[in-house]
Amino acid sequence: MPARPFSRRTALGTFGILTTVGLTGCSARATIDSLKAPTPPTPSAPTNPDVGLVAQVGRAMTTADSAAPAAFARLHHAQLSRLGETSVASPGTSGGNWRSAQKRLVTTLTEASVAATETDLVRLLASATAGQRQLLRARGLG
Amino acid sequence: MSDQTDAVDALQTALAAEHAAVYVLASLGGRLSRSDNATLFETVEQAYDDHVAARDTLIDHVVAAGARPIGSAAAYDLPRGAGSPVGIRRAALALEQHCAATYLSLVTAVNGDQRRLLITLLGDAAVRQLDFGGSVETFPGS
Repeated sequence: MPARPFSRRTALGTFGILTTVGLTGCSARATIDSLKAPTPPTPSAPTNPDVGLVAQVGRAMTTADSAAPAAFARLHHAQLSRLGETSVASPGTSGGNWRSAQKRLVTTLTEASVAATETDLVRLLASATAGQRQLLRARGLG
Repeated sequence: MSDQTDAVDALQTALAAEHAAVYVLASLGGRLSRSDNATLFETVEQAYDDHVAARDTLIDHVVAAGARPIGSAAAYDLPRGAGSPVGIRRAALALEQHCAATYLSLVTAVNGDQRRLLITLLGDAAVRQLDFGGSVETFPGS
């Protein structure tokens, strides 16, 4: 596994490079015309679905950890760090159902890995699923 | 190589790992006394049953993919130092770690239900590591 974390910067950097290469092919005439023409609306960058997956996983972990033993938050903090995401405290949202929330994370992580397209992200999410199952088992919940 | 070929190759590689696991665990179990080491014997026996089930599931998936499942080898190298309960536990832990690493290496070659299956088997191997003295990891299999 590479040490480099998966990040939005990784996902969007490729688009930036491709955009730059494409723009260098414009002719001088086109440049002049573009100066005369009204400013077109700025096209939005294509959405990388993997970025949304990582954010979704981060939110699910944060919610599940709010009332869970600290061991879960520690595990998820380490996992999210590798995913290029940070956990944010969200007290009280899972309440007394933290056990169910932690078990649901197995499904959340599995489905995120199935949906992911970037190979490093697929592996990180699959492995994080296994780590979650280990901790659940160690706590008598799996 | 087509995606379909990659997927079948991945399933066959997983199946080969399960054939080896079944053989090795049967050999390890045969070296244990149920009366002298009841807990370890039952743990090895449960792991053997789990790997037999995983092997059969993988055979079903290979067949469903239109391929002929590979068979087991006539024999496999047995781990060194597995002549005592401590050595048997260590060998079984190494076996589960190897299986987890194998599954993690294959998850990107498959999609959909096949990826779900490999993630599940990866998690199963990671959980069994705890039974053989392993500890919770951030990213099992990596």
